[in-house]
Amino acid sequence: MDETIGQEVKRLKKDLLRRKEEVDDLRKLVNKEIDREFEPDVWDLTEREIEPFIEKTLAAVKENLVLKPEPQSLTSHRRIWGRPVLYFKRIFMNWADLYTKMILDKQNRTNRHFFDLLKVLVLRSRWSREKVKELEERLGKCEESLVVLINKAQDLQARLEQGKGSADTK
Amino acid sequence: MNSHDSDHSLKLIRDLKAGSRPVGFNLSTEIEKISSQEGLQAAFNVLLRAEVVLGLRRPTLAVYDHAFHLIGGAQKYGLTLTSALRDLFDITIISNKDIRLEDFGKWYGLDLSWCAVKIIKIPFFEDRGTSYLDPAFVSTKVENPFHLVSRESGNYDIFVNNSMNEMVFPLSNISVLVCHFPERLPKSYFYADRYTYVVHNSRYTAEWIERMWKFAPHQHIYPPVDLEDGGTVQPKKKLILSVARFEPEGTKRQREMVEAFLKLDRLHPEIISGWRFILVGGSEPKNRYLDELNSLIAGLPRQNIELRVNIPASELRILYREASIFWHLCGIVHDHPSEVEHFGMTTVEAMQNRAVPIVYDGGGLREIVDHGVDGFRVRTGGELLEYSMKLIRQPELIEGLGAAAHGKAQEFSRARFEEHVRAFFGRILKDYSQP
Repeated sequence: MDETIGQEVKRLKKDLLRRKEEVDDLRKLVNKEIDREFEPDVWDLTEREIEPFIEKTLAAVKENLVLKPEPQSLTSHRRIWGRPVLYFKRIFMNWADLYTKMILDKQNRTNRHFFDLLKVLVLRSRWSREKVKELEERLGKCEESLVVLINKAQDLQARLEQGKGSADTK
Repeated sequence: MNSHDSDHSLKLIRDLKAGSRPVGFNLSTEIEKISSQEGLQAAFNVLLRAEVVLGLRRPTLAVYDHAFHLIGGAQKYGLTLTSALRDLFDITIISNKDIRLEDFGKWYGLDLSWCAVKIIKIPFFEDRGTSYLDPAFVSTKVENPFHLVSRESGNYDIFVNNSMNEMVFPLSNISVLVCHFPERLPKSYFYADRYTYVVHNSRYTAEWIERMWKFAPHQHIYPPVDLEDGGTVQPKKKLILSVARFEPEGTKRQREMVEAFLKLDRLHPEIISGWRFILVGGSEPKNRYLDELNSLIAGLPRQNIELRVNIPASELRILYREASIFWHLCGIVHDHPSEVEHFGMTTVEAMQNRAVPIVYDGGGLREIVDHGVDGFRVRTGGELLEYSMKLIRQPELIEGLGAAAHGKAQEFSRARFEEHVRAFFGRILKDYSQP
């Protein structure tokens, strides 16, 4: 019986292998989508990835910094009443545009201020980073000098003790 | 994680094992049903497992690494794992560049002549003529070139991906990703979480897998280190040793170590007199960082710093045995967690040879060196000088800490590694073959 199962399994495997080879797309082999979209979480960024992220984001913000009203074409499905309806719509929109423009101008000014503030904050963080680096280096050098001094002092102490010992024996 | 069997498949396999075939049972029909519901691969996997469960053949396992043609710690890990599993599986080594099994004998002392080899060339990289297949070059703008390997993975019972490459989608019944470090955040063609098991080489790696990939890995197995001193304690020389690749980016921090030794030499010539500092490491023929190091030590009056590049293992063994102190500062300056040592194999090698390690206090090195017990961990150049001077002034400390280091290093021996690997894969195989 085992042999029968064995032979059957072997035959089916051979057949499936052939069919597998005919399939180009991996997704079809597993009957499901295998790729996903990943949205990077900015909290996960490492030091190395932060700078490119800042550059990329600032560029994207800059691109959409100035908001402009998008012209819309007006059409109507009404045959007879369409024209007067459109006429009044146009009048209303021209009137509303005055206010929209005012709001957009205000928003654009605010955006510009925020963008400038963002740039200055980035600048300050870069400058602070440089400063911290510089301080770390100076601290490192101080530490090294301290080690050297301690060792020199130990040497001196040892020599003094040696000198004292030999003076005592005399 | 990827579940490797559906209820239907499992029931089918259990029925086959029990030899119970209900009236009207037709294996072909059942397989076809699975194929239409879960895909051709799922149906194929049922048959693969049935063969093992029914004892019709030995289980098969494939170990893949896109960098098996290069010498490296990660590759040694994967191949030692292969060697440890000889009795349990028929094993195939998969790589993307030509490899010779005898090279593994020379590089790692492993006899893998009994393994099958499958080379899957990847046109995307072949066309570019690069010797290293860097997955970072692959974006969603191109078809995933590693799907060629994914397809092959479906021909084995167990597929082990040992490479730093999460772009291989596993199709086998059981899949294991050995993660040496999660170098990139999940983005294009990321499949690390599709593996049945993820093995990590240190707690540091595990911590970063959780932070970057948002899941906890399953099994911790430290890398194998086998540069034992043979049990004979040899007299140590006045030698400080560093063993690390001369990375062109300088991430192993040899420059910082050379500068530290030069400082010692300049400020304490009488204490440092007779001491040498030797830096050993592999390098590509053209290496600007190595050139910089050479110019840094050129013209030193006492010639007590040496760079030894691409030396044979026999020479390295002698240096390990002679060295009193071992320096390793990888990570002391870094802006990415991958620039910190993920584990630190050379530190363990030094400890196996009773050299006292003074290493950077971070990454996997924290798991190896216990500060003040079997070596020292430092965070700054000043601390490196401090502890080095301490050892140089007190030779008896070198002996004591060296002996402790030797004891600690046993935790990372090849024997221990093989024991863990066999236990882990033994459990997997038991579940797989006895459903």
